[in-house]
Parts: sequence; structure tokens; C-alpha cells
Amino acid sequence: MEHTFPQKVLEHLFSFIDSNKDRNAISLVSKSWYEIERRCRKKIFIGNCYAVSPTTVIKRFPELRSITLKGKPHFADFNLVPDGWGGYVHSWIEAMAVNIPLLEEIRLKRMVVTDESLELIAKSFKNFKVLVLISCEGFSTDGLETIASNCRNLEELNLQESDVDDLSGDWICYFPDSYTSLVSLNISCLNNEVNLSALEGLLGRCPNLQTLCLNHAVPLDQLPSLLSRCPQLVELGTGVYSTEEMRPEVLSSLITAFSGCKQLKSLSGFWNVLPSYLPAVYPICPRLTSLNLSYAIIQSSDIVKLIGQCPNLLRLWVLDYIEDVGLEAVAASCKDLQELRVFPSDPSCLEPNIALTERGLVSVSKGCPKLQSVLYFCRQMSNAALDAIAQNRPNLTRFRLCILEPHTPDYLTLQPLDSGFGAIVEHCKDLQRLSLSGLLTDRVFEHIGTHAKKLEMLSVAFAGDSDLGLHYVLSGCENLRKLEIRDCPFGDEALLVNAAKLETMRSLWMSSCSVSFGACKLLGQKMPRLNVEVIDESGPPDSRPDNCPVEKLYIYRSIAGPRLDMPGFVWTMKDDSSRRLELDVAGVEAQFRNL
Amino acid sequence: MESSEKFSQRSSNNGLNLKATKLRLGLPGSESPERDDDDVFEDKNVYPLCMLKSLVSGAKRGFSDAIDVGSSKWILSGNGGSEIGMSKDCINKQGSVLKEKVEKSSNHLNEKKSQITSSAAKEQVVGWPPIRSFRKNSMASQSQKNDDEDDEDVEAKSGCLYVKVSMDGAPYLRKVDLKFFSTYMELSSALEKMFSCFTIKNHSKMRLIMPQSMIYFISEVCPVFEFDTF
Repeated sequence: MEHTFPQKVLEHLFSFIDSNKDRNAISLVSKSWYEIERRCRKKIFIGNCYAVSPTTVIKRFPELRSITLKGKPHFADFNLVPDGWGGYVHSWIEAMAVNIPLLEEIRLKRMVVTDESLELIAKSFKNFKVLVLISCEGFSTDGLETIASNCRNLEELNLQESDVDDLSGDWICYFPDSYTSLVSLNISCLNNEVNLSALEGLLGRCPNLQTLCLNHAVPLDQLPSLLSRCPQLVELGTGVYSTEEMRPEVLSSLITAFSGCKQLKSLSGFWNVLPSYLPAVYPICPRLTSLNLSYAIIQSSDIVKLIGQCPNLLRLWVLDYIEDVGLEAVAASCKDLQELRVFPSDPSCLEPNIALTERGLVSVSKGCPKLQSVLYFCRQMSNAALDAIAQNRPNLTRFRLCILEPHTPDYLTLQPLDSGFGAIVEHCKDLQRLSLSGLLTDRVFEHIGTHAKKLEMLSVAFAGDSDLGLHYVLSGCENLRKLEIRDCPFGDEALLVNAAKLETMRSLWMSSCSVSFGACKLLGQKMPRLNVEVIDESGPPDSRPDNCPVEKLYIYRSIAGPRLDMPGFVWTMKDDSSRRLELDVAGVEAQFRNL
Repeated sequence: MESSEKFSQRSSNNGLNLKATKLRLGLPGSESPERDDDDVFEDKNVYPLCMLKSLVSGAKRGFSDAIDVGSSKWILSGNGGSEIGMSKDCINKQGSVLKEKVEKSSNHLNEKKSQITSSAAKEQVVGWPPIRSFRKNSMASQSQKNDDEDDEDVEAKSGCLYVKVSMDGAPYLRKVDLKFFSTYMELSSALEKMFSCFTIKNHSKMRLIMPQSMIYFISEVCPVFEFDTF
């Protein structure tokens, strides 16, 4: 086949193939396809920034225009990963600044980005277009100034949920008057006010603006004037959604402004809602496909009134103030709903204070035939409800249930929730992501190992009885890529027996489990392509006996060897001799390739 | 002022030029009689304080006093209770994450090691339920505001208050949830534990630098503290 098509033709064919999976498959067909593919690959996704070195990536793909990198483990979102753990992007930026000056897009998640990195991006990539920093940290508004000043072709600046050192709201003034290419701006994470007149000017001169997510510091009475500058918006995140007192003139100007936004499909924001202002969005509700009310402290009746006007919703994020009755209304009116997330308004309160139970989720599963993705926080659950959900919605691909109190049994039978989750994995054959909670024994893991063949990511907390649980998952889930576990009685045996499995996965996180230091060492020594990292803030693990359990363990596959930027509380289980051997081997291989 | 006299006595007694490296915070409007402005500006470590100078002055209770006197309640609590009472100004102006750098006398803390009380640990399991800090902080600040509007008791609600702590010489900041601790001792020992893995700890000092918004917080609730440095 490789002799039939000239390189140029193959290249042209490959240019139609965008997905990373397909591109990876192409590169495995033959040596010449590998070569052709790598030279024309434009986009790369690296799920773990430590799995490969920047040099290796750049050498293989010299024509990159877009890179996506993820850093810290997912549990870092919940403060289980100590600060300083790593995930620094700077070495990547440095390498790309030199070798890939035509880079256009950088998307990062859970990485540490400094002002220095931002400056380097701003000054190195002349055609830079997209900067997406999700849940990142380490930079300030000073860094944003350099981006604004230098990136003449910037189209997207998205700082979603990042922790930004907000020194001044004037960074937005640094976009020059000649700058008009903005398409998407998300500054919802910023704490302080941005310079509003500069923002208005910016919105007014960027005709292609489609997404604008403001922060809570933008007052509601400014929103109409901002919206009037960009009525073509498709996605809007409001600022604070109230004024000290209800002002009718603000309401009427809001109604006018929203009515003018004929393309608006997605709404979010709604910090500090004054319900009397909600009718302002009624004119656009019928067009809405995405509604995020998950910061809106409003009562069920107000929520229902709003959602009742949104028959075309595909995505709904809401607080548990919606209650079961509100979810029944959703089930009745939002027949195209694909994704539902219900967040807890008062997570640490142990008493049920909200009339949101498993019944709400059951109604939605029954009434919304296209429901695929669920994230649901509640205080009670039953096997019967889970069974009903599973049978109603076999097309679920993401099911994340968080029963707030650990070890909560089926409230009707007081039994573990094994059979309920078992029903989920048995019926939802395309399930890709699952998060467990409640009282669970090893049985639930047996069900998962037996049925969850498409499962890619599993999150487990306060569950299981023994190593058998972990063994079922590691030996049964063929497509497992990410496994994160906390506070479970899983130990050495399952891990060591399934060591080879770990190389087929992106990563494994275990904290507050029973894995011994000795087992970690053994794993690190036996598995050269795994980085086994022990996180222990109480001191060097080898100052304690080998059979002592480690605090936290993060194992990931890597062709880059142990990382060089580990902080004092992270220990790699790779001993020096094997590292040296790898380097020697790599050197010999390199020589062979050059022959 | 009694405490400032005590302070200046201490500094002259031990012969070290502590004043030059001192950070002081106090109630707006209160003046420290012995404060030497030149020293403050020369020391680069206190540079950020220049921004606060107009609001901040005064020498207050020494750190060791804060511990020894056994008023071991976390002194940001104005009502003396174990909750961290929060000024609504602070929350409204501040938003989610406060920035705070804690200065400490490491010798004193080494002597007074204590564990985080198990009751606090029981109520709040770290990282559970799995909700991002951004969301927790947003909800906390909103519910606080709603409480105020309803004229209810200003009590610390659920949620967290994450602040960043930096120690001189430490390569990175650490985050700590202020609501997790009910006494100052718990906080200080937790901080010590967090920074104990840095080998240069013996030569480090943690510094307290308050951003402007934090001053409102402090001023409305309680007298503040200063730390000896060395």
C-alpha cells in the first residue's frame, strides 16, 4: 500500500483525520505512515505532562500548532495533592518557543503557569491564537498584561476556575485599540473588578466575539451596556445577578439587552441572584441549550419557573435547591437533556435539609431519553433507585454519584449499594466514567470488573473490604485508563499481581490506603516504564519500616523516566542504577537510528 | 500602649536590630511610637507593606505572648468563640481566596508542637465531599452575604476559606483552609508540619503580609499581632 500512494497524497488524506485516536492508529500502520503522519500532525493531546518529555514531542511532531497538556492528578481538585507537587509548564513553553514558533494554541489543565511562562508565550509565538488555562495557578494579572499586549491574533482567553493572583483590573486595558480578533473570553475566576470601560471598548470592537464569561465583580447594572456592545454572543456568563435593592429600570434594561441577543444559547454566572431579576432572561430561554445555575442560591419555585421555559436544554447544572419536585419538572419539559449536574448547597451539613433525594434523579432518568452524563450529590440512595436508573437509561456514559456521608447504606434496606451500582455497569454498556459512593463491599468491584468493559475512568472512596476489590477492577476493566482511590483497604497484593496492567493505564492514584513502602519500591524497580511516586509529608518513607503504608501513591506510565522537579515530599521509587541503564540504552538506540 | 512598650523593651534588650526587619500590623489609626519608617523601606522583605502603610501601623502583641498567655483561640475570631467570624466587608470585597503570609518564631513553635484535634478532623475529612475549592469558596461567600441580609447570626457557614501561606526560602506556597482549625495552635502546628520538609527551615521566617482587603477583616474583628524575626 505504501508504494501506491505518493507521500503528498497520503499527507492530504491524513489532513482530514483530526481525532487523536485515529491519528495514533495511523502512525502504527507502517514506518512510512508513521513518518508521514508525524510530520503533518498539527494537534497533540498529552494527558499527563510527565509521561513524555517536551523534547521527545517536539522532535516527533515538528509541525505542531496546538498542544493540550494536563498536569496534576484529578484529586488535586479536592486538595489531596499538596501544593508544590509539580505540573510546571515552563519547560514545555521554553522548548516550544525555540522549536515551534508557529504554535497557535495552548490548552492546559491543572498546571502551574507563571507570569514568566505567560510572557514567554506572548513574545515567542507570533501567530498565537488560543490560551486555555483550566484549574491552573501560579500566575497573576501581570502575566495577562503581557498576553494582552503582545498577542495580536489572540482569539481565545479562557481562565476557567484558575487561581489567579488578581493584582489589578487594568490588565484588560493592555489590549491595543487595533486588537479586534477576540472570539472567547472567560474571566469568571477573577476576584476583583476588571476595568469596565476598557472591557466595554474591547467588546465593542471585536465583532467575532461569541463567548463572554464575566466574574462576580461585574455589577448587574453594567451588564446591559456590555451586552449592547456584543449582541451576537452565543455564550454568556453573567457577573453578580443582583443589586442592593431591586431597581425596575435595571430590570427593564436587562430585558431589552437580553432580547437583543438573538444567538444566545448558553447562560452561566448568576452569582448572588435576586429572583426578581430572573424574568429578564425569559425571552432567551426557549433558545437555551446550556444553563448553569450551580452558583445561584434560589428556591425551587424560581428554578422551576425558569427551566419550564427552556424546553431545548441539553445541559443543566443546578444546586440541590431544585429539589425532587424541580427535577420532576425538568424531566417533564427538557426532553433533549443530555447532561445533568446537581451540586450540594451545604455539603457539610449532615442533616437532610433539602428535599432532594434519589427520587429526583430517577425522574430525570425516566423522563429524559437522551440523558448521558450525570453528576449527582445527594444524601440518600437505594439499590432500587439505582436499578431503576440503570434500566431507564442504558445509554449513560458518565455516572458520578456522591452520597455526602461516607459509608451510607441503602436507606431502605440498610444494605450496601453493591447491587445498585452493579445494575448501572451491567445495563450501561457504554459507560466510560464512574464515581462510586455509599456503603460498598468487594462485591461492587466484582460487578465492575465483570461488566464495565468500556470503563475508562473510575473514582472510588471509602469502599471495599480487601485487596480483592482492587484486583477485580485491575484484572477486569479492559479499557481502564485512570483509577483514583482514597480511603480504601486496598494493599500490596492486588497492585503487584496486576503490575503489568498499570502500564496500559495513564495513571493510578491511591491515598489513605494500605499499600506498603516496600511494595512501592518493588513496583518501581520491576516496572521500568512506570513512575512510582510516593507522597509523604511526614518525612522520608525509608525512615520507617518497609511494611508501613504510604500516605499517597501516584503511579503513571512514562517514557521520560523519573521527573526532575519533585518537591521534598515526593519520592520516586526508581533506583539510580536502572535509570542509568535506561539512559545508556537510549543512547545506543539513538546511534542506531542515525545509521 | 502597653504592648508596644513591651516590644521595644525586648528589641533593645537582645541587641539585635529586630526593628529593621519587623512587620507590624495594627488597627487603623493606632500609631506605634517607636516605628522607624526608614528601616521599613530599606528591608526588601517588607516592601509590600508600603502599600499598606497608610492603613497599617502599630506594634501589637508578640507572637510568643499570643501562645504563652494561653489565649489560644484563633485570634481572628472577634467573639472569642471557636468559629472564625467573618466580616461581611471582607467577604464581599474579598471573594474567594485570601492571601496571607504567616510569620513565625520557629523556636517557640518547635516547643509547642500539637496535633490537629481529632474532632476537627472528624467533622471535615480532607477533600470530601469532592467539591472544588473555587465552588466551595464561592458558595461560602454567597451564603455569608445572604445571612447578613437576613440579619441572622454571622456564623461561619459550611465551606472553606483557603489562604496561601509562604515561608521565606520555601520554593512554593502552601494552601491551608482556615476553617479547618479552631485554635491558633492547631493552625501554627499544621503550618509547621507543612513546611517542615524544607531543609532550610531553620533559617527561614514566615512573614505576614496582609492585602488591603484583609485589613478590613482584621480591623473589624480583633487586635492583631506581630512576630519577632531572626
